Amino acid sequence: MRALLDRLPPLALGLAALAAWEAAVRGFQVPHYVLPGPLLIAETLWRDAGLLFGSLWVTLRITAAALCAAAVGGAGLALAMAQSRGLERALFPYAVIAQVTPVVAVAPLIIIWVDNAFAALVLCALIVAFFPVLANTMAGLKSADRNLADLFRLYDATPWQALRFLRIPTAMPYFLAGLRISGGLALVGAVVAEFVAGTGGAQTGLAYRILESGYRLQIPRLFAALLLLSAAGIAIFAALNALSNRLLRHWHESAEGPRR
Amino acid sequence: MTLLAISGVARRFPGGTTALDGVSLAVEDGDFVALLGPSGCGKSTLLRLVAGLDSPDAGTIAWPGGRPGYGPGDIGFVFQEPTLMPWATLFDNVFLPLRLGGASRTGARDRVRAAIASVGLEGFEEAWPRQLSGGMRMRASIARALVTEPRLLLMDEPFAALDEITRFRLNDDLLSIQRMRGCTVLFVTHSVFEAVYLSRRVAVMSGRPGRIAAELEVALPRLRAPAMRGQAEFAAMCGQVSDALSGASA
Ligand SMILES: Nc1ncnc2c1ncn2[C@@H]1O[C@H](COP(=O)(O)OP(=O)(O)OP(=O)(O)O)[C@@H](O)[C@H]1O
Ligand SMILES: [Mg+2]
Repeated sequence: MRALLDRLPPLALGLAALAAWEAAVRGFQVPHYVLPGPLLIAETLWRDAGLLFGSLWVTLRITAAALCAAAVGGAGLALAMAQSRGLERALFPYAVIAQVTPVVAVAPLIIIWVDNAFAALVLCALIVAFFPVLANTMAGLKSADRNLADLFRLYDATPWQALRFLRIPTAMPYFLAGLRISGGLALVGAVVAEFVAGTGGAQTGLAYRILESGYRLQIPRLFAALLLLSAAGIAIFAALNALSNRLLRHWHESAEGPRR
Repeated sequence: MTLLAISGVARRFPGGTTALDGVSLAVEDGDFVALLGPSGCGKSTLLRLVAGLDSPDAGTIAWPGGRPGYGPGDIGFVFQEPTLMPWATLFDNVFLPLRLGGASRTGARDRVRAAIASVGLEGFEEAWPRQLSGGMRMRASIARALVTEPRLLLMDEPFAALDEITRFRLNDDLLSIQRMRGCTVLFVTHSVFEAVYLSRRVAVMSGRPGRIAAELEVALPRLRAPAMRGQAEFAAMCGQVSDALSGASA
C-alpha cells in the first residue's frame, strides 16, 4: 500500500503529460510525421511488434554480451592490476585511452577489422562499458580498512586470503556501482555501434530501425523504437539495482536492508 | 617471568614526526598493564610495534620467553573501533582468525561459539554487524581477539567510544576474562579511572616524542569490584596517577 502511494505521484504526472501531449497533437493538428501522439505510437508499437521486438532482441543481445564482458573483463583486469603495481602502471594508461577515444571514431575501423558483425558491435559496446567497472573495482580493491588489513597481517594471512576475505568483499559495492553505470553505457555503446554500422549492415537492431524509420519518415515507428530503447535502459538499470541490493542487503548502506 | 621487554625503542615517521623515543617497558607474564598518555604521544604506534605490524627505527622489542607461542594468533589485537567486516556475520567475524590459520568452519564451531559466549553475545551468531549496538560490536571485536586464546592481548582504547555504563560493564567482563584465561594484557587508555580500575601497573607516557614518564604499581586488591570505584583508596590511586600524568605533560 505504501509502495503504491509512493509510486502514485510520478505515475499521475506521467499520465497527465501523455494526455496533454495527445491533446496538443490533436488540437493543433500536428502531422504525424512531425510529432505523433502517444496513442498512435502505442498503436504502431502493437502493429509492428514483431519487427520492433525482434530488433530489441538483437540490441539487447549485444548489450548483454558487452555488459557481461565488461563485468568479467573489468573486474578481471582490476584484479590482475591489484596484484602488481608494475602491471597497473603498464596497463592503466591504455585503459584510459580506450575510454577517452570516442567510440564513434573507432567503430568504423572495428567493423572493418572484425569479420563477425555481432562480435564487432559487442566490441564497440564493450569499449564504452568496461571502464566504470575497471576503475571502480580498482578503487574498491585499494579501499580495504587499514585496521582490518593490519588484522590480516597480524594473523599472517596469505595474499590470497587477504584478497579473498578482505579486498574482494570491500570492492564489491564499488564493482556493483560501476556495473550499474556500465549497464546504461553498454546499451548506449550498442546503439552507437549500430548507427555506425548503419543501414548497410545485416544487423537489424533498434538503432537500425530508428535510422530506417527516419529515412522513410515513419516517425511513429521511430518513436516506438525509441520507447523500447528507453524501456530497455530502465529495465537494465532496475535489474542491476536489484542485483546490487540483493548482494549487499545485509551490510552496505547503499542497499535497502534491515534498518539498524 | 618477563614476557615482553621493550628497550630504547624509537619510531620516526617519514615527514619528521618522532612518535616514540627511548621507550623502555617490561611486561610480566600474566600482568595487566595500562598505557596512559595524552593524545598523539605514540600509544598506538607502540602497540603496533609490539604486535609486529611496524618496526622500530632504534631499540629492541624482545620476548625473553620466546615470542608468544611463535605463531600467529598468540597475540590478540583490539582496535579503538570495532573493525568488524560488515559483510560477514558475527560468527564469521569471530571465526576469521581461525579461518586464516587454516581451520575449517565445522572444526572451529565450538571455539567460535565459546569466544562469542565469553563476551555475552550468545544467540547473536548469525547477526550482521549493522544489527548490533556499538557496545555489542566492541564485544564482538574482543571475542575475535580471544578466539585464538592469545597469550598477549593488545587493546587500543577499546572502550573510548562507549558510554560509561557500557564501559564499566565491559571493564568487569574484561577482568573476569583475563582472570579465567590468565593472559597478559597491554591496555591503552585516555582515562585515569579506567587505567587504575583495570590494571596492576600503569605506565604513564609523555608526549612528543613519546616516552615512558612514570610507572606506578596500582596498590589495590587484585580482585577488582565495581564498589571499589567509590572507595578512598581508589580515589587516592587515581590522584597519584593524575599527578604523574600532569607531571609528564608539564
Ligand atoms: N603512519 C604515520 N605516518 C606519519 N606519522 C604518524 C603515523 N602514525 C602516527 N603518526 C604520528 O605519530 C604520533 C603518535 O601517533 P599515535 O597514533 O601513536 O598516537 P596515540 O598516542 O595513539 O594518540 P591517540 O591517543 O590520539 O590515539 C602522532 O604525532 C602522529 O601524527
Ligand atoms: Mg591511538
